[in-house]
Amino acid sequence: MLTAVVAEVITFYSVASPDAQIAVISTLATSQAVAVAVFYMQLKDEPGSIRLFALVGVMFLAALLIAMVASLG
Amino acid sequence: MGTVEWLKHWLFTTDHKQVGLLYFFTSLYFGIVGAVLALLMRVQLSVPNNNFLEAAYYNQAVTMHGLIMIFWFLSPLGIALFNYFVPLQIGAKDLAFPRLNALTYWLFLAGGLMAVFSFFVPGGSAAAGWTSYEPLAGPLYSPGPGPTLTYLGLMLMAASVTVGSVNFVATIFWLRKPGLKLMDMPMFTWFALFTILAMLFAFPSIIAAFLLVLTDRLIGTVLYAPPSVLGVPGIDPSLLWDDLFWFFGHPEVYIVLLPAFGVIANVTPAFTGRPLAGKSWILWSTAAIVLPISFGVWMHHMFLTGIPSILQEVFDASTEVISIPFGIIVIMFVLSMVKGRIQFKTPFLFVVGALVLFTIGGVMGVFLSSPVLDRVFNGSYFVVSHFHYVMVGATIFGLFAGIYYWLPKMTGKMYSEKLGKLHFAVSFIGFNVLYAPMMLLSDMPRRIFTYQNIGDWAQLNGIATIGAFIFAGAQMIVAYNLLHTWFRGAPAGPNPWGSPDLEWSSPAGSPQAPAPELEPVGGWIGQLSPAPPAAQAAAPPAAASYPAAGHALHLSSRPLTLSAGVMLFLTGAALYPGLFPLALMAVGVAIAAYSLVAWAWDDIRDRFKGPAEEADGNRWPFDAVPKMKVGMWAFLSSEIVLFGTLLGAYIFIREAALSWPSPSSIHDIPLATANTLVLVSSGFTMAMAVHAIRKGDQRGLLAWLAATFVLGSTFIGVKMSEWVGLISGPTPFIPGSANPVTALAASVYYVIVGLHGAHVIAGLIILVYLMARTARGGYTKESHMTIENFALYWAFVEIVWCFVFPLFYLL
Amino acid sequence: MYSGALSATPPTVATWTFLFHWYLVFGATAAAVVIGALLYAVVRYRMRRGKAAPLDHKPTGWKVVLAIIVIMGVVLAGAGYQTFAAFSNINIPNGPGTVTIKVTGFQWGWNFTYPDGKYDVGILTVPVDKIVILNITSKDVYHAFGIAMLDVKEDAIPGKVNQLWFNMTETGTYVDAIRCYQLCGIGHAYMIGNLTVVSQAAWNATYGGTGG
Repeated sequence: MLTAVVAEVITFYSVASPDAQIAVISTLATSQAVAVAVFYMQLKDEPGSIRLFALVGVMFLAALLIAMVASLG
Repeated sequence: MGTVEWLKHWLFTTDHKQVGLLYFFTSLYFGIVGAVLALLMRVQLSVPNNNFLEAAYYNQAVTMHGLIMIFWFLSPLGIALFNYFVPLQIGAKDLAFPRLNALTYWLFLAGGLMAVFSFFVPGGSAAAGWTSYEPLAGPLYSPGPGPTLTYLGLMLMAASVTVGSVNFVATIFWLRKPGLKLMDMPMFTWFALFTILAMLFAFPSIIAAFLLVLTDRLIGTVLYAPPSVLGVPGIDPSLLWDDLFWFFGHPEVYIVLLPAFGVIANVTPAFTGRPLAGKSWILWSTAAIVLPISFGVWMHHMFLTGIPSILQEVFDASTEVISIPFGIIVIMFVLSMVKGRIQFKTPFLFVVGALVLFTIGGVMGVFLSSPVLDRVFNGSYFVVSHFHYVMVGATIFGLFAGIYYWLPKMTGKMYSEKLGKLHFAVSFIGFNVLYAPMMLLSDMPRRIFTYQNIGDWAQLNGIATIGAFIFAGAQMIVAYNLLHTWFRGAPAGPNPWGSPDLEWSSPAGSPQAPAPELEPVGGWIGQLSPAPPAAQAAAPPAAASYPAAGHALHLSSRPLTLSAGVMLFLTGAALYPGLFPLALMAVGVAIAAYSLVAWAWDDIRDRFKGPAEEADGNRWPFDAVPKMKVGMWAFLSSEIVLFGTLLGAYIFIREAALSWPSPSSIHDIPLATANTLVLVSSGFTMAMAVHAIRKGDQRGLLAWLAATFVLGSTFIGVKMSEWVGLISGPTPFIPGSANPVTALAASVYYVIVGLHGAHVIAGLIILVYLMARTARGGYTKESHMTIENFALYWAFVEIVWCFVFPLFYLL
Repeated sequence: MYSGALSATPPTVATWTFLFHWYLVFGATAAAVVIGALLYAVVRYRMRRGKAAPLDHKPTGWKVVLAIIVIMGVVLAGAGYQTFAAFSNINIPNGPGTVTIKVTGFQWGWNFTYPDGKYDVGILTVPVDKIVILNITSKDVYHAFGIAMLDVKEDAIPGKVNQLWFNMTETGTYVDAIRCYQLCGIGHAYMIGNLTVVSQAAWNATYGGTGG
């Protein structure tokens, strides 16, 4: 399953496209991560409170990243 | 009881009350160190052009005063009260993971010892302010082992806090006694929960920030190297530090403050004779607004760094918004006095004092939220006044309220009310004489070791110094009061304040405390002091001595030795090069490794018996989730922030840099891809391992664990050969590279990929333990929580690689 | 802040002082109200011998909380609005008729480089009644350049240029008007400079015709 996804990632980098690469690879990476979290870590089985632990951290990080990059203005 | 037994008892204890007392006394010690530093500074500043303390020493004093007070005094004092009272308030026998709790104490002490020791090494301690701005705090402008020691000590404290917060999360959510719903918890425990949740998400950021400082100082990375040295076009290391530090720094000040608010909320009803007003409003204000938004205001420390105006306006707005819930909380406290029957006992006086000082300090904070006003206030004594009003005024006065309130519980004796009131009055006066003049010194820069005789600086500084000595002198009163109470206090009775909270419900703690014969009347400290005859007669006969066996007290030497080993290793690393430092490092590693193995062996042999858990305790909202899993998810959420912050720093650097080497020119991408597949497969085998044990298949479990181990080791092996390739050759990819962009790219690559690799290696070590335990039949279909939790960790490590691989190898 | 001696208030000072007074009035009032209410409550409701048992305590309704939010919200919004209106202190005026001087902080002093290439250390000379824009940076570590009497300050960050502006309304030599506001090592307390304000003619004579 995930092995296939990784294979896709490699294929894509070889095809030399510019910044569209970033978008595609980020999407792939994020979906990989989510897949691992949901299935391997069985997040889908856990009550919402556990999911909160994962999500809150990610939200704070998003705020940090957005502000940091914006400050480069 | 003999000295050796007494020593063993205190050095190896994992009991929460005793660990709480250890925290209490140790934090007071560090508070005294911090106060002495402050008094030295105030003497130096009492008159213009003074030379009592030269610039270099003054800078060390101001830096260490800040670091020690914040990290080794204020927060640990709160943690001491958490340790002692949170389990009592929720009816738990102890914290969820008692040995980890002891570990947090010993790590805290180890870090503090390293920080204090840094004064005595050549060059002295860190001297770049507690905010440790880069590049001043880097190896070029702050050379020497002292700052490194300080920062390593800080990392130990941060590790301690992270472990501790995982522990408290598991405890509060999992060990409440039956029937105690979350909403019914006492206010102090609620604020403890808020504090530790904030700690969980904030501290990884400071770990990340200082990790980069330490790699710069110890192994020559160039992550914060100043442009004069590195000169990568576009890169701004100062701003990187600012963001990483203040993202932690702002939530940190609420982390310091919230325990005091918890005390105020808990203590006030006992002296107003009426319930707290708007209890749920207070809780919602703190949970829904203070906590989340505290992570969204940090750039108000950066108004003058040249960030775009729109960002300044956004953070002005968010900072103003955060004052609204604080307003609600303070007004609820005020309303809690209305229609009460108020007794002016010492704890209550401190509550009122704390609220008055918090209001003043809080309003000053609103001034500072304005980017325009900040143009004058930034870096001046106005800021110093503001944060001391809230950090010392609100926090210390609040914590004093708690100390006086709970002293009868901890010692079984009552303190002197007259001395308590005197302490309050002199403290309040001294505090204001010290900090109010600083409000008028908004043109005087901070952290200057001396000043010329201009305007009214001399008079204001002189008044402040007098105030400092009055305030310090007031603390002599409470020290005397505490000692007097210990040795000669009148017995306090089981519940001198008539509080309905759980911690008072028996003379010796909650009904679920260790059996009476193990718990002397008046608590452990009471046992050490000469008890009045009446109390002694009433005590059960066996209470006259400490329990003999270590078993019932859950003694374990591993937390102490592990911390000692780590401390020796890090001290050696800071002092390196040299034969002696090398020896320190070797001894430290040996002791630490031995401790870890012994700890694991204790587990394999089931030698350590923590207090048994309530079979049907109240666990909402984690009813279906086992204790260790809650702990593991708490830990993982902090790891998410750690790696996320580092990757965020990397993205920031990439965005800022005008040019960057392309990955294909540096890395062997097919090899890395193959390695990625190896890691991904190990995630699969780990999932299969869990699947196997769920079916009860022990041999399958062992096989899949072994497969995971092999794949993980392959990953590490391939990576090591990859790195050998990177650092050898004509143009090595190392932080020391002549090409600045390469040096920076290499620095960030090795730190992040290295940290991930370290996590993999840690996982492999744990796998060995798991395989050993499996081989002895340690896991069954019913009981294999550890396997499941390790699978979570392993999957997390894989997720991190999902982002690291494309970010470093493909983009 | 210490501009009492000036006869004509520089614009940056005027803006700042107005804003500060605005915040001061509302801030001091808020603090006084809260502290006053607190002290009044504890005195009024103190336990007195022979007093009856505690009265009935209704839970605090949402109306109280809403009132707090609304009042604070309005005051804070007003404060925020005033701050945004005062952003002229931060935004750099463009257009002709300005003088731009480069400021480089170093351990431990200030280097001022004028448009014609001349430079001074420790003394900033500017023409009177002219908008002066400072491009501030650092040669080594993090410093902060502040002129308290003009209520202006910006960080001096290595590798970055931050700007501030002011318009000085009176000639004269202002000793120690410039200070460093960010800890930068053992010389931090001595990173001080003088501000000298001269007539436009005098300034042009010294620093060439490139100004203005």
